[in-house]
Amino acid sequence: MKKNERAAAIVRTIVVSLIAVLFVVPLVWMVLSSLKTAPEVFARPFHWLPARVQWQNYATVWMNEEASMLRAFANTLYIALFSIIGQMFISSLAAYSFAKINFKGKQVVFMLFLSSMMVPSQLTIIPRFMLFKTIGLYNNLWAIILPAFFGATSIFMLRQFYMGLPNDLIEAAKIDGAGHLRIFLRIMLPLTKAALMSLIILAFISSWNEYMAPLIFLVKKELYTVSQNIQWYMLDEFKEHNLTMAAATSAIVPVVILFIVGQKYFVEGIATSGVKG
Amino acid sequence: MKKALAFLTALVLLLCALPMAMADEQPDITSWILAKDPAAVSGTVRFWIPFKGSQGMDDMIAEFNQTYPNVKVELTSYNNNSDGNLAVDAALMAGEIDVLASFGLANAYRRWENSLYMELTDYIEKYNINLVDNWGTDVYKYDDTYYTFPCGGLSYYVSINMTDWNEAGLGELPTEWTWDEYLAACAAMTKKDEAGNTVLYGGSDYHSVNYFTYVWYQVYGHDQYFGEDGLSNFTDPLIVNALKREIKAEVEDKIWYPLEVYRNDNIQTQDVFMGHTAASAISPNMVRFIRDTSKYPTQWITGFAPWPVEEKGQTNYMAGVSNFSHAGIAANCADEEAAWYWLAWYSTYGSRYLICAGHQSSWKGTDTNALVDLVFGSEENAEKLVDVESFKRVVVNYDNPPYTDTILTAYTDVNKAINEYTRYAHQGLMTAEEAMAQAKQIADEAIKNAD
Amino acid sequence: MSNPDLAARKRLTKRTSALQRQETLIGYAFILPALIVFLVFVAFPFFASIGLSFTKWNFLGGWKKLKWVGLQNFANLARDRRFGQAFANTFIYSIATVPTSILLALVLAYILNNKVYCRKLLRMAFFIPYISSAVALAAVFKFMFRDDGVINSILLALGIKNPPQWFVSLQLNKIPIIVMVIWTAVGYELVIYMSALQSVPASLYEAADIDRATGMQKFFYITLPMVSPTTFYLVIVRMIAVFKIFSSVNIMTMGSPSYANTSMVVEIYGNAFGSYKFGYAAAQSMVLFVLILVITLLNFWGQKKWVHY
Repeated sequence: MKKNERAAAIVRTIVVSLIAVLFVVPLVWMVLSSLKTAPEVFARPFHWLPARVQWQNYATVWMNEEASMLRAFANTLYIALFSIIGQMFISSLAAYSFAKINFKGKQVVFMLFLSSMMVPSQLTIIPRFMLFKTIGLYNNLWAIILPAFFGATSIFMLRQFYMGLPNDLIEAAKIDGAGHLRIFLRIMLPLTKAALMSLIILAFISSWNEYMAPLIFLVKKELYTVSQNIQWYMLDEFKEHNLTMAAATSAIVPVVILFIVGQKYFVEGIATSGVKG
Repeated sequence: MKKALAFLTALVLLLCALPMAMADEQPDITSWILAKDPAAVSGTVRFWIPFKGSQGMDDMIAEFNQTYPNVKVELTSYNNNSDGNLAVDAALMAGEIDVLASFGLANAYRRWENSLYMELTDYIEKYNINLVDNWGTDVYKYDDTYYTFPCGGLSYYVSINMTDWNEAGLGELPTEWTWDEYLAACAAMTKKDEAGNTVLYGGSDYHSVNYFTYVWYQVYGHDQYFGEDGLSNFTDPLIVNALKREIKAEVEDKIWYPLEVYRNDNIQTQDVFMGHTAASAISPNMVRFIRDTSKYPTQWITGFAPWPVEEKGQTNYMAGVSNFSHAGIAANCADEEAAWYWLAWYSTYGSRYLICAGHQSSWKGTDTNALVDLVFGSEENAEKLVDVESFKRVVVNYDNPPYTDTILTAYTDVNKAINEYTRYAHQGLMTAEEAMAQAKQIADEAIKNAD
Repeated sequence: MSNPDLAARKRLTKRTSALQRQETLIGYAFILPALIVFLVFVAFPFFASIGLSFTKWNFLGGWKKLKWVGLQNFANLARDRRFGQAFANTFIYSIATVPTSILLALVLAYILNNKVYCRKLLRMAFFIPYISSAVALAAVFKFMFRDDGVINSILLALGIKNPPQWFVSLQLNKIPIIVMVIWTAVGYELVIYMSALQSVPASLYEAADIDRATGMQKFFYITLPMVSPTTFYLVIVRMIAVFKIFSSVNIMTMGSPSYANTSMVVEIYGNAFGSYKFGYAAAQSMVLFVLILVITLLNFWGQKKWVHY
């Protein structure tokens, strides 16, 4: 019986590994292409390995004045950092209010917030473009950051989490004379650390990979995000796609490292966001 | 005494009139350009153009600064695609541009129409600038107002890999040829493997979708999309046959690099020609890539042949240098004086540097003899890369007739319709006739609704 | 007649109502930041979009040039060949990617939930595409499926004389996009299924073991019904995501999508920011909104009906 089980496990591992290889091959191709010369990328006959490893592709991509990955990283991190801080704080406040404060009309507002999930950002992007042009936020990193302050999913998930926390804590604090703000900051917020961590990671991923909003709102090369930089290399008239692949690899590696470090939070975050049925 | 005075006056008048009489043959197109005291002009000009500093723009600015040492020109190289032009429009509105070179009439027109460029009327009157004398045409205006100078041009030609040309035994480069002759040459240069796949394409049209309509320019000299009735010309046999010819060469005969691969795989004509996937190619800017030997080292010499004509003996309005880019001052520029002097200099003396990026100056004062040195460094260097005789004869020939555009009704919609439906024909979704008929229907409707 | 009891009660209600007022005030103060951002960046643009869809406007001319055109934009939509195809493509992409990726994810999750070596490493292999930059991945797929790309090189090496032109062929040019969508979706679905599978009570499987059920039977009679809420959720989430597909299509077709593989958002983007037809693009985005609304309502309705435990 035990032997059988081990054999079954080995078979399973092999089957899944074979499929996993298919999933990894494009990424392997990407990394290898990033180390080739430009003509090698599409050369026939095709070779997986570069004839000579071209590390300088990365130096070019990171230091190129026209589309520097370094600058793109700085811009993207700036956007991600402030988007996350703003969204987490504002969502926590609202979620706490929805879960623990009794007031008239909160159901209406909550439903309003939830209904925003039905409005795709693509629908609102044209008026937002006009809005930013009018108030001078066009070509400004905050044009990406400010709208990210509102996250319906974050509010919804944090509210669920707060509802799960016992009311006794609040009542006890109230008797001690603490107001809602103090209860929120001192008692409740620290309790949501794990939930916040998952949300932060999810927000980081979506912020890091955001494409459409920067494409429309950030048109100055100095403000380009990582996604835009990859596109720049792809469209550049010299068509040096080894550099495009070096840029792509540079964009993916930090996320992969983050994933390896915070695997637990990733998985929890996605699982809790998904399983609500 | 009085008589002497009268005589003297007459003499002075005569002396003054003499150069004016001579000016009838050689119009004065230089006296308006420079400031009285260029060194006294100071300021900063933010100049936007699609070309990079290394494509002649740095040298151009350096030469300007020899005359105007106190004007700082800040170059921004934008992408001349739809995203890039969106960025330009936004920057124009935000006041981030002083002088802008718009590429292609559609982009220029949109900016005239929405008053993003400053009116040049006052300057043209003040300095008595004759646009025809300077740039060969005065049709590029909106609402009877000039916003830009049509100082940048393109010449259209066939670049030919001379190794392949000679290997195919095609002899001398033609000084005039028809499409049939060009296609026959392409067929001769095409190499296929035993499975029938093309290994080397004999030729290629430019990667833009609408280039087949340039046949209209070639024959009539103006307005590629519009017929005499002011409506679109898409169902004219000239246009339909040009499209059929292109599809046959690309899809059936496989002697031209196919448009659909260009569009779908994001490849451009220079990749195909400089990468030796095609032995010849139609392109208005190949020179930019030929001279860039670090990015495009080649083993062959490139020769040049003129744009093919529909019928032997026709006037070839595609043979000259036609206007393509339009430079003007932003309506909300920061320093108008500096901007003006830069615009005046760029659109005249400076514009010859456009050849380093494969484009042309359309200013009549440009010394065409100096262009070879400007592009390739010296005649000697040029000989290593190109057939200098045909380069001079075809690429930088300012005496050949150019085309002009005069009708711009619903230009965006008309352009969009032809670009969309041409591809359906290439994709085999419909015949060339059907595609052009449907494109015409959409375009004509847009033209009729425009007023 | 004085009633001290009533007075006391009055005082009490007064105090509680004062307290309640304070609670309400604080409650609103807490949601105020979210509410402001919501109103400015979601609600206002939403209604502005509706208004814009009845106009002809481009931002260059300023507000003065805004022109009311009534239903003309919507009338034009009906004859827009490209948008019609984009609309149809939306469903083709959904049908091609949603069931396949979900089934693959479920099978993988089922296997991975049994004893497997290197589970975490394997899970990571599936997961990385999901968290990676869509632009980077679309560039990779674009290059791999190019006429002269690695896929055709492999096909040539396998002796196939005329490998297909993936992006040129109208029949095939959805395939690279479909493959990429499946490839990036599986990781997400897999993680959700794995956690859903863990909540299936082990006792059910034990009971089935006693009844000598085969693995297949267990999968179809226990696993599948038990995870049906998750499946339903994933179908909805993935469909909405596919309806909004943009990055992969825009990068792979690089601004000039052939008719056959364009998507609704690519068309909206092109009309608005390429052709400056903001009113028309707004009208197109209303179609997208209605589509998503329908799916969401289907979700509410179906959750009650279709999900069995």
